[in-house]
Amino acid sequence: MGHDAVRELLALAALDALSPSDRKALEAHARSCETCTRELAEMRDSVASIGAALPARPLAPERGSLIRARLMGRAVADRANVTPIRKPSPATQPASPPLPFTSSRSPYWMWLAAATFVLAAGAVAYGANEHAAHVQLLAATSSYDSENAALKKRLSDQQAMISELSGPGVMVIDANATSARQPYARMFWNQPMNRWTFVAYNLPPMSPGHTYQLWLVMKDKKKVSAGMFEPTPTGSAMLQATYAVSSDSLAAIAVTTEPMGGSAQPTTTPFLIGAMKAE
Amino acid sequence: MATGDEAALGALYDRYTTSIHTIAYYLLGQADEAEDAVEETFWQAWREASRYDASRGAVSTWLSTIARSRALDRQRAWRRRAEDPLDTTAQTSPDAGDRADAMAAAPDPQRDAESAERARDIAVALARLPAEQREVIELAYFAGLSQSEIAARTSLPLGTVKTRARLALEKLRAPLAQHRQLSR
Repeated sequence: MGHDAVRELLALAALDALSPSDRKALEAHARSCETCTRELAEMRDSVASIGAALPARPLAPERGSLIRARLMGRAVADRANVTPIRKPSPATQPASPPLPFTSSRSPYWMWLAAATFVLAAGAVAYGANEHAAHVQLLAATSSYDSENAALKKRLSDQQAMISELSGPGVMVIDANATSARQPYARMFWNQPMNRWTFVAYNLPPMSPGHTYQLWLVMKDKKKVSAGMFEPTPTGSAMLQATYAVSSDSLAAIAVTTEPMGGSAQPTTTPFLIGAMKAE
Repeated sequence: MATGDEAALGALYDRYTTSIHTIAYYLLGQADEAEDAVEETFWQAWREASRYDASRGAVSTWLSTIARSRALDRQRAWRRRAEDPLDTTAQTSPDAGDRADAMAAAPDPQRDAESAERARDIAVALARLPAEQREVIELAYFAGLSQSEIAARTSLPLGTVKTRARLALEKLRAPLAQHRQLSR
């Protein structure tokens, strides 16, 4: 493949979008072409600039700390494997070959000093080993503690959501549409917790200056606002509210369009209505 | 870090976590997956630190290249699982390389909202590119499609895909070069 043809591949190479055969051809050419090597590096900078142009999405602090602790623990363990925990260096080992014990030129105190030195060196080496192992254990413990806390939090959140949406006290009210686009909605009413979770799909976009408003319609015809919501661009919405209603007083739920800021009472005909099912 | 200094890994992590997580988040669209990709990125950086060559690019470029590779590996694994009818672990991801598939999946208001927000952010980030170049970059960078997959998806000749990718990166490079000149 010629120089010009390879240059045409550089952008896709930087984007990691080349076919295997084109990648091989480029790598073969770039080994002997400084221009292409430099341009590829510049293209990679351009690709990196795409990521840099995105709005920052920081990790949640507890998740960031957890990952950091895990990485540090892995790195400490990895380093210990790559460079085994220090053993006494040859300098601290008993001299080899052993000194001739029979030498009369080595007075007793010299042997005592040598023995003391060897013991001290051994103790230092042992201490170094113990310290490395201690650091390793601390990192691993910190990692497990953080992970444990994060898992407990996630479990607690999920249990809260499950208990809101399930259990013998939860009623489900479906709301069907009358318009052509077929929006629909479902209300999960957790009576014991007085918790309402409303989800809706295929909602038409709101006209400017208006909002959707959810109503609890009581059997005595009273309408209680359960909140306002805006649909996403795909027409979905979710609304959660806490409101105490006795089980025999609710007749239906309804959604109306209201002026921005909401209304005290519905001002338009509901386009979504869901009646309570008889138990 | 190349000498096995964990403190250097910690410093690198503290400095670049947000930018790496941002890339992973926009490519994967799922918090758990993005977090895993972040950890894999820094782990790979730790293991391959001795191979980093400062003369070939900035640390940030090196890290973001690793991050994108790890995120794309995950995207491609999703696609393979989704295409394998016998794989019972297959799951649809909101950004598994095909947003159209995601839209057809079970409704999820929160996920839809996040997906729409990401799409808006990406459009803003690439706003300086003409639409036809932006499409190629989105498919390559964010969806991880290969040149032939992009050509098939856009019904463009392969040569046009190459040209548009090159023109787009040259356009993105211009502000970078200007920034470097100003900072000298």
